Amino acid sequence: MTCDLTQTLLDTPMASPPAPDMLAGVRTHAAGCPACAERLAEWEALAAVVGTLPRSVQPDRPLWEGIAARTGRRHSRWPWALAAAAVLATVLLTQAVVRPGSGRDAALFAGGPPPAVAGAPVARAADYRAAADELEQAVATGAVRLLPHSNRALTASLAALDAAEAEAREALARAPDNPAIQAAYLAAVRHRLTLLRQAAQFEGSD
Amino acid sequence: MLRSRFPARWLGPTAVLAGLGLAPAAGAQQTVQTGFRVSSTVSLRITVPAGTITISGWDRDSVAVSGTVPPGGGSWYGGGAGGAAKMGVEGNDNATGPGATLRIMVPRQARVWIKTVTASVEAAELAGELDVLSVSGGITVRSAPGAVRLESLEGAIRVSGDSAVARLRTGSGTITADLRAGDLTAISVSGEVSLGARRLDRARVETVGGAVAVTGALAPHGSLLVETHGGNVTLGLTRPVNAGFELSSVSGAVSVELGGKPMRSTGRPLEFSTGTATAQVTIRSFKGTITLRHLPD
Repeated sequence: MTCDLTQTLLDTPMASPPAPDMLAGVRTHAAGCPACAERLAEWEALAAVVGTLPRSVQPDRPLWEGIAARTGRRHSRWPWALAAAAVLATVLLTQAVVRPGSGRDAALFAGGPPPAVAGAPVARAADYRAAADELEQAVATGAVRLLPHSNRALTASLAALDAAEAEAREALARAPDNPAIQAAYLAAVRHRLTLLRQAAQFEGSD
Repeated sequence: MLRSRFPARWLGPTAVLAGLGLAPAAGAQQTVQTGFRVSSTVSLRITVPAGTITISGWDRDSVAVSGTVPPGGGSWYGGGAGGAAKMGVEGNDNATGPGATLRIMVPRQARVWIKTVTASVEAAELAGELDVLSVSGGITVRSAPGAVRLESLEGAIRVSGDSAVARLRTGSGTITADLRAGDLTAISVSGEVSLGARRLDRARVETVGGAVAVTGALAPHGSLLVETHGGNVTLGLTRPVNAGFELSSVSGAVSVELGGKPMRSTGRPLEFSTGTATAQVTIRSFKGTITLRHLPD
């Protein structure tokens, strides 16, 4: 076990911690490595706290009525409009990615707003979306310049993510308190951010 | 003590060619044939935009490189000593020129980092840590018992043999992992993920649209987590199956055939356990189907 491998293992999400034998390897390594011992202690402290948390939390009162009142029920009233907007955004985004550097990029990279519903996963999704939007904006303005190959590779994946995000958004509008749908929405947005970060590792040159 | 095949001083291809009176001229094919001594755990960074890289571990404290860079494909560079080395092809950064063909031998315990644009990578017999990043190049890794992190935006990723820790990520490429055991994370957007394991210790698979197929045996305390948006999930397990299961798809069908009465559900989670239930299997999808069955004995 090396320091890097230890770090990799301790970086895995708390929802799926390292296997017991891997963790045993980390502990053995940490016994002789002060830096990893410190990381392990932090991880164990966090794991202890996470272990006390319930697997899922349901709101103690129905949330949708209040949210719907504030949003004018626009999501449930016009889900088709949201879907259409998402499809349009997908088409435009695809064009933008295929033709980087065009003057239209900045506008075309703009994503839709997060769904107006409550819940921790959705709040986290909004954070992910904001970060993804920032990255897309950086690409659009040329602050991050992707390789032509990266742009092509991104196109199909972003289209798939747009469609998934739109579906989850539409489903959320119908059932905002459904944790499975919240998780699906969060996953789609998280995948988007991760993919963009992956592509941004390859900067082009003149 | 491992012996070194090469002298400690750095030998570049230009030096080799100059010694032969064949200094590389613009437009000429560049032949690479060189090597240098390093430590057994050298950190090696390789950047090759286009072409093919074949990298293997060996029981020597040295790095050896052979191959060619075609005209218009950039220039080879490289060097290093002791614990650090760097090499690659420059001048073809966007991979618009023809690709290089390189065969690289490194100490088995080397820590290797490779970055490509379209170049494919084949790696074998590396026991240290291996990092490969590519835009569209395929990545194939055989017998890398250390930690591997492989990412390609649209290239296919294949891993086989032993890997203590494997982190695999792609956008539209496929992921195929055939492992004896280990800790695996495989993430794809639209590419299919196929995972076969003789003993599934810990695996996490996520896709958006890509189908997921997992076959093999669960370790006694193994865990498997699969999450997809639209990708269908097929899980085939060898007997005996001692696990707790949580299977749910918001709008897809869930089907379980583990020898007893078949179970079916749509829109409602299925939670059950078999045998001693020491392992844990969690599969979630938004609209994909989930199929769980025994593999034939």
